[in-house]
Amino acid sequence: MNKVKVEVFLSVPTCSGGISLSRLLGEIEREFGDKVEIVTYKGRNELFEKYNLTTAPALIIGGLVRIMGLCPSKESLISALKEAGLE
Amino acid sequence: MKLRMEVFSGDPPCPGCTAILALADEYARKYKGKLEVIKLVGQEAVPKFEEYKLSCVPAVVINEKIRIEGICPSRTTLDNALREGGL
Repeated sequence: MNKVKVEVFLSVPTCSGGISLSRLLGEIEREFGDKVEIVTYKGRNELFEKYNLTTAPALIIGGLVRIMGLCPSKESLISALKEAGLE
Repeated sequence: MKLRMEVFSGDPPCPGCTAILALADEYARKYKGKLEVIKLVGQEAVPKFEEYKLSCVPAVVINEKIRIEGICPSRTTLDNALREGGL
């Protein structure tokens, strides 16, 4: 089974949405730990530019930009993970 | 004596940080001569961010007192914070 890759972009210093998103991803990791791979980037980097992101926090799921500039609800995040193949 | 307003933003910026930086420019023009506006963004903000023991951005510190943290305030809120600070 392939893990769904979740790339997380947070600002430095972290914004309030980034803190909420980090907490939410902690829950996701506890629930779906063996099915998701979460990679967190702090601050601006080459990938941020590559994905044409403009604001943080941002979530790339399965290589696609899904959320930018806000922390989604848990329900929305799980839906996005399912669309990317989470079973 | 000029009032000192330090405005903290993350990099990459969240929507709240983008908004607060615009507000900082607006207030620097509006209160020119009365208010010293200092914008601290990204990695360069970290030493002061830690010194003030802030937990997230956007944030506003007026005369070394934390007034706003984690949200971009309305103009009314920011005006009140400046008034409290002695403007």
